[in-house]
Amino acid sequence: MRKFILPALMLITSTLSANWTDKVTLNGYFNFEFEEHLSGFSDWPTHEYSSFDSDMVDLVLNVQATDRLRLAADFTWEHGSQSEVDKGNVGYEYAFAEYTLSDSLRFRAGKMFIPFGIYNEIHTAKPSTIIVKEPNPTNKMYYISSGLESTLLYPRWGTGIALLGNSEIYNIPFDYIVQITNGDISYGVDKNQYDKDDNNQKAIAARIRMDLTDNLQIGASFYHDKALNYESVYETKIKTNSDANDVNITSKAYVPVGDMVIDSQGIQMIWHINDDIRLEMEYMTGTLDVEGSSSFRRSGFSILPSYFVSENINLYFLYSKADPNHSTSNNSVVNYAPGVNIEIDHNMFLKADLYNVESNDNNLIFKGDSYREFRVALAIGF
Amino acid sequence: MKNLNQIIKSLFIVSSLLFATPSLFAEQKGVIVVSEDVNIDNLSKKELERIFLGKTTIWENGKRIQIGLSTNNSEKTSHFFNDVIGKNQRRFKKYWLKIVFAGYGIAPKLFKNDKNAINYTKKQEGVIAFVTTDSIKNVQGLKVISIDGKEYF
Repeated sequence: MRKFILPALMLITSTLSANWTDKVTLNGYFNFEFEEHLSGFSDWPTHEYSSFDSDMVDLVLNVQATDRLRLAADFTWEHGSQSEVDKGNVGYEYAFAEYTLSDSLRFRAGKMFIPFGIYNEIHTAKPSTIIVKEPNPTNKMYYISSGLESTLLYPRWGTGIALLGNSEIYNIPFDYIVQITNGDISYGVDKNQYDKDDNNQKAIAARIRMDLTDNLQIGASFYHDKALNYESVYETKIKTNSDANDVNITSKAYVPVGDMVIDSQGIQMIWHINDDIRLEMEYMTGTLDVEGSSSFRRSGFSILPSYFVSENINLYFLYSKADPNHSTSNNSVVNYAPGVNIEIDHNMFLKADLYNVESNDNNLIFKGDSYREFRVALAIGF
Repeated sequence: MKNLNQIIKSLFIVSSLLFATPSLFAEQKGVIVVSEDVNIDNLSKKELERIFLGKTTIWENGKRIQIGLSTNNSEKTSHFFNDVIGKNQRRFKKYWLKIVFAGYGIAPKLFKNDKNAINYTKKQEGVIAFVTTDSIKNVQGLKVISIDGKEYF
């Protein structure tokens, strides 16, 4: 009997193994950076002086559970993640289940990137972008200004559900996604918006992209959220201990101080003028309305022309400008970065740019100052 | 003089053989093959483009579409990308990097030789693959389909 069991087991396990490997796909990416502050303003903590950054390694896992059901997850280890010394960041960018009813109607549930603009869904996936880092106005408001003005136009991620798909209108192909997620509660409170929470408000994000021709794509994005704005306070309570003595216990508490409404809109365009010349543009604007505090509009745009001088060498020039608060004059920040992207080997890219920041006098961070950095990145996709 | 005649004679024989057996030196052709379970014989160029760009992901019979690509013949592969898919290979690669990393789909499987692409098509269900070969007919377990009525690129 034994002599049959072993071959039978081997047969079963090999079949299972074959089925398992057929259903699972593993991809990922790696990014390593070097930055050198060359000149100018240096009075803030993100300046790097000849420093390396073990920026990230990500594993992208796809499990095609059935013909219509896919599970996707992107696990990330950022900035040399080392829990022993509490450094870096470990997490997952997304993990969701996607069910395809048809190509024009898919359903997703889980943690997802917020589908806004060109960059958010690929902001960590450096091999898929030409530039070293995404333009600040697209969502790095904390590099533009401080305080409430540094509030993101939309959060990076959200937990919820989404409908998405692609189809055609009048022979124009388009894709869309509509996403409903937990409202963002990350402002001033230590809670988890990816978990069940006490915030009744839900955020909604949507994007549509249309391929007007094989070489010209335009798109529009929208985000709305009504978050609770918290203030952290220290509370002291008197408690009687086991010896019947009263002791003062101080703890941190979060007091909701009002609503915080975020509305953001964006438009984008990617135009492949020919095989070698590409032009990408994005404009974003939005309002931030904080109850009992302030209400203002902000906006920003980026322009990125690029040109392949040879099969593997792509030259680019990134220009972006952001106005973090339209109610304040003379507070904009301009970034520009001439750069090069060289594909050294299959999906292995060496990027370098000369990153310049210039500001107006009323900007809350830079106060009219400017600075320049040299940045290099090695990005590998697999 | 006798040697020269012999050389000319030999050259004539060799060149005659070359013309008489074109298949030996025939140019490889690009073809689209599908797994046996895929119940189609013809696709339009537009339908093929949508499949290779990950926009159409389900066959009419409900099976998931899996994409294979042989990059064995760079000239034919590049012709396939430029003229059939409408994006050059570099752009196609970047396109799929974004799709995969942003969580929108599973990338086509790339094969460095036709044999592996053909084996993949035979072994898996729902596969559509681009291969570059001139001896694909009558291979069991897969079939050649035409694109806008044409079998070869």
